[in-house]
Amino acid sequence: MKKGFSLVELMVVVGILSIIMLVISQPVAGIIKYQRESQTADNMRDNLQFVINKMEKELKTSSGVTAISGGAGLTFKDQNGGKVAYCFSDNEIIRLETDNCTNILPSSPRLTENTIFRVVNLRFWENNRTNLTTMSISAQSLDNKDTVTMQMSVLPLND
Amino acid sequence: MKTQKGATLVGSLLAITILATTLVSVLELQTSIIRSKFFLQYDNTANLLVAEGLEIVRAIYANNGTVANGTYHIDYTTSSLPTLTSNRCSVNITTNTLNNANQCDIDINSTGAYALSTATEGNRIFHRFVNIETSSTPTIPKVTSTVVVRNPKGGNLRVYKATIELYKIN
Repeated sequence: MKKGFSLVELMVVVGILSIIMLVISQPVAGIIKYQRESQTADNMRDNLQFVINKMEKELKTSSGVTAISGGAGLTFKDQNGGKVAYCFSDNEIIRLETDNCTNILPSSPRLTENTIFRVVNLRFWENNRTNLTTMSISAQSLDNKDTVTMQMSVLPLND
Repeated sequence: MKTQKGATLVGSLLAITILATTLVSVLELQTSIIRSKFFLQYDNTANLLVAEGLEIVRAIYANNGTVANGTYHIDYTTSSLPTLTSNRCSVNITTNTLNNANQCDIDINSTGAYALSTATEGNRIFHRFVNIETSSTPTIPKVTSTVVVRNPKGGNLRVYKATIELYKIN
């Protein structure tokens, strides 16, 4: 009668377990990788959504909305009649209290920061027949792995 | 006679079954996470497209003073509702199918904006259509904007929907 396991039996068991662990570890590593990547992309989307909501809210009550030539900026008057411009410069969206995008300073307030993600495209369009203003923003994560494009159209109430 | 104690056939089969179940569960979990990531990636965009659909009709209504009942394929450049086609885009949630998908394709165009796609093949990720129904008394158009997100790799469709009523501001 044999008592306990033989060396061969132990080696076979360890071998089988190693193979199983190897097979399982790959999906688990994949899950961890996707989770990490998702966090970066989620953060970027949340930030972009916030910026779009902020711009949409201001544009809803604006008047005199005009896209700057080429569509990389937008000027309008806010609900108090103050001049406002949204400008695209150095992979950031900047909000100026002027009617043009020619004088952007390092101290000008940013709606996005290029240290969190890079805005790679900002375009505005006006539908002259319906007064609909459309904005499209494309952003890229700093590691260039994720790109998000978001678009929103707004009908300014005062136009 | 020399006796050896080993695992029985039933014991071995049980062990293999448990291990196989564990393995399949882990692989399914991974597939599910990848699919969730895909949909999460397009969730915000879909919601914005739904809201944009409503805003486009609202702008047309404010400009023209009227909108006709029907189902339409529209984008931000649309200034009047196009003529209805017989092959309207529609989604069947029960069978998880999108009918006449090429009638409501939407895609990022060369200018970076989500716009109508003229592709004949309906394998786009986003599909949008708006439906307008006007009640008889009082005559208030009810607009429903629907966006369908399709995973090109397969899986269930995701449907996003919102409805507004168009009131005239005096």
